[in-house]
Amino acid sequence: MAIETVNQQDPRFTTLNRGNNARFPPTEADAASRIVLCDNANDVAEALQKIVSAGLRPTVRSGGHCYEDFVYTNPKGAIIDLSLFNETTPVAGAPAYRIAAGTQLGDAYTELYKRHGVTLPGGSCESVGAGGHITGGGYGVLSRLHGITPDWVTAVDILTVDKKGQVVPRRVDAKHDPDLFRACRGAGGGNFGIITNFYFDKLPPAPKEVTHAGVRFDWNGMTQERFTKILQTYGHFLETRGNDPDTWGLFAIIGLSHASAGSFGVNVQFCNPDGTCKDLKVLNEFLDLFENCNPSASEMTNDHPAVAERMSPQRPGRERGCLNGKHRTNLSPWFNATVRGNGGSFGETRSKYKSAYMKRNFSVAETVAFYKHMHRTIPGTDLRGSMVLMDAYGGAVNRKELIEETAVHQRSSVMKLQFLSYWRDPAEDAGHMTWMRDIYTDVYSGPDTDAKHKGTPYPNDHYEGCYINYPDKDMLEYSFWPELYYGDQGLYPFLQSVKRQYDPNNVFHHAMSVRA
Amino acid sequence: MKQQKDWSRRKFVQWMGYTSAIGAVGLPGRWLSASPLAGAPTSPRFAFAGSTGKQHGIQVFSIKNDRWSHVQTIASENPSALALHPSERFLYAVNEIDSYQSLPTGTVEAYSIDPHSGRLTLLNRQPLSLSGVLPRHLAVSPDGRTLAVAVHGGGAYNLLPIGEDGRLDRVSAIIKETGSGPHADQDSAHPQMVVFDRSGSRLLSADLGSDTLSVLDLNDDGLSVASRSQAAPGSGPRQMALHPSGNLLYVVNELDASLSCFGYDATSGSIRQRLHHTAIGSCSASGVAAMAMHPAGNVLYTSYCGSGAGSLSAWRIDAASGALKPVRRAADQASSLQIASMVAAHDSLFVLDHKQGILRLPASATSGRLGQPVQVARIEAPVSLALKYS
Repeated sequence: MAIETVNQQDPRFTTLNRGNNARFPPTEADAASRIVLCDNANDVAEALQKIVSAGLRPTVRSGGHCYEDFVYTNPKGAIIDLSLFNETTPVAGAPAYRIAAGTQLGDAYTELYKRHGVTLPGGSCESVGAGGHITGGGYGVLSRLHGITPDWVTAVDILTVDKKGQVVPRRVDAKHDPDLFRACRGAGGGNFGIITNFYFDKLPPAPKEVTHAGVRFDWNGMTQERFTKILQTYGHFLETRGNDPDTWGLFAIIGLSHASAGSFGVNVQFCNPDGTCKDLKVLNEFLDLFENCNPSASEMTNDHPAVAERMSPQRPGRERGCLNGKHRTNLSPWFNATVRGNGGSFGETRSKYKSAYMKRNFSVAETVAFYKHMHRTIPGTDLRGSMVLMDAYGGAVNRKELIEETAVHQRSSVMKLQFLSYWRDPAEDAGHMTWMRDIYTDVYSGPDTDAKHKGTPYPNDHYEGCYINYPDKDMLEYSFWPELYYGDQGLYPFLQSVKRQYDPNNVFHHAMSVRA
Repeated sequence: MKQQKDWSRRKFVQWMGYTSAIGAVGLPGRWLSASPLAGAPTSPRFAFAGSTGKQHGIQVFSIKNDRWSHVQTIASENPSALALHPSERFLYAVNEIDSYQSLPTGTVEAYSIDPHSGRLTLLNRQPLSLSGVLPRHLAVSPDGRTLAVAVHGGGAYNLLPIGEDGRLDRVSAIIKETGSGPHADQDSAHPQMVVFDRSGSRLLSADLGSDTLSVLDLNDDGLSVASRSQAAPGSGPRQMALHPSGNLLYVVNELDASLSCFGYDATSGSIRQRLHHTAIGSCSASGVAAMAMHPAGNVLYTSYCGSGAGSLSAWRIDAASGALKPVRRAADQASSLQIASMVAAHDSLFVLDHKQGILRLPASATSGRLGQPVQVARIEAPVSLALKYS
């Protein structure tokens, strides 16, 4: 395919000029002037050169799932779309496995599984593109067992723009442009250039099978005390037992929905480290913990799509599983549980996100703040789509040697939290933004936050900052925002030096890009 | 805008007076063939000075008989450049900052001017394009409808529409620049100055980072590159002035302390070959070069201040060939000055000195000679000056 340029007069423009979040572009005046679609690396280089030479600002899209407006707020600029560049066939002279940047995760999982029996420990939303996901430290249901996606990357093809404005194609790895290579392993997209291919010397074997289970709790009758107990039971397991390698195949998530949604749940996917479900001892041990928390009888009730996305068999209309001792569980082949054509509601939903890494169990103060905001009402704002997803983390992620090797410093956390709100009516924007801002500020203003960094999970004994793939422009109001995402141990200054060297003209920039 | 259509020749000449150094706007030759009309004010009534010292902001002065009286101090962040609207009713300031409302960008401000007192009132402030950090210069189009900004730090040009009420609309056009040069300060593009040509539909720009002079077209799509010209490698173009004839472009270069004259084809909008080139000082690592052209277009002033010593020179312009002839001993007292910028008026050269503030040097338009400097305003670290004549 030749380079395909879709300008504002093209009937495809209104469709292609938006991604997964209907909030972007915020206004027509913020919109790009063209979308440039490329299905191979040479065309991307040619398109990029033309854009730069014309004095246009390039932004880059692979899957279109960026949580902020980094791609779509690009007034009269050019969006380079890599979604058609989705090859996974190996390249001669390159490492064994390859994923082109435009490949959607679901397609990558399918290809890797069917051709090689391996997988990438990436995210559960299949329509997310590899380009942004891996570059920003993408993780998923298998990350406790196998680490995060950039941990496995051994080379990337990247186009940078030199100081004279010339596009330079590079294959970077631990020996060639090693600093740039490190920066490509987790610092986030839109910073240094356009990654066109990821390469992997090896990838972990895909599990043979996985077991899903869930526990639900009705908001109705939920006391603060019981709520605290549920969260602390969950956090305590991850803080203690969760560090043992025999539990690393257990991934769990609390889908803490707003009280107006009726209930919330703990969902879990499990396999043993060998990728089988022959022994469910660890799973049962985990589920047993919630016996004393008075779970709801209707344990397979409706989950919000954001939770269901991670835990497909829990969705209504599916089989209710079978009894495994005391617990109802659901065994399925790993592939069937992972690749199910789940693409989300593309472009129709408005959303806002925040994140936090936690090194420790929840404090009582945090659970009190969660409880309060899960019951808060805002006139004219439907908060049923507002929730906090509390992911199990740690395990294989927390290999300390990867701090220096990658651009992801969070290697001590046991939970990773995602605050999110979904809605459709633009009239509800302000209400949802307020809810998100307030719950987050409250949760991170407790006794575990130091005074200087109040309102944020600034790295300390309890917290480990935020996740750049869940970017949140609200954090820009804190002068220390780079440390929230990159820590305070020298990673950000390192990234700034890479930025100065490889993108001296700051061609690649967005609201939260590395500022040299 | 009725007011602008009705401009008299006199007003154009006045306008030329203050834009010659600030915006260096070229005007049709027929308006400039004669000296200012009898009775037309050749002395400014008000001065607006931006400073980046401890109390950075804009100072307003009223001027009577060459005496400056302080009228007002406006808080403004690093107002590196100021430009008057052609109507003289509005003043625009560029804020050379690297962050605004937590985003990496600089800003521009619009002020209304009280016609009697000269007092400023902020109309609005607009952010520049994302990554448009450390903007350094701005120019108002001859029709008063567009503000152009040179973004030094972020390497870009921005256009902002100006409303009838003087307020600035959001950025409507962006050019993101790339480029570099051999000098240590030339790792990336650093646009320094923008100047509208006589047509008002083209912008001329000087990029210190890439030794590039560009002609940019204003059109329905916004802004596009019409042509590029390379200055000498490592020269670092800093300021430019279009001669009133419209076909000579003077450029002062900061990194090699030199002055160049290029031909400019106003019809096609292209910069032609370099006609003349000369040194303006003894080059040093941290030198600052500045330039101002006399409103009548027959004298050019240049300064170059390095570590320790400064130089202030005057050059007589041969309008036919563009050739420059140095005026001997033009300014004997100027060697101790640390000049950030200069503005030429009919009978004065105003010099912005880092320590002494604003100095007035009597200027002879015929001989090019400059008189003794007299301090007219004590301001710490002045960097920009606009003069209002009406």
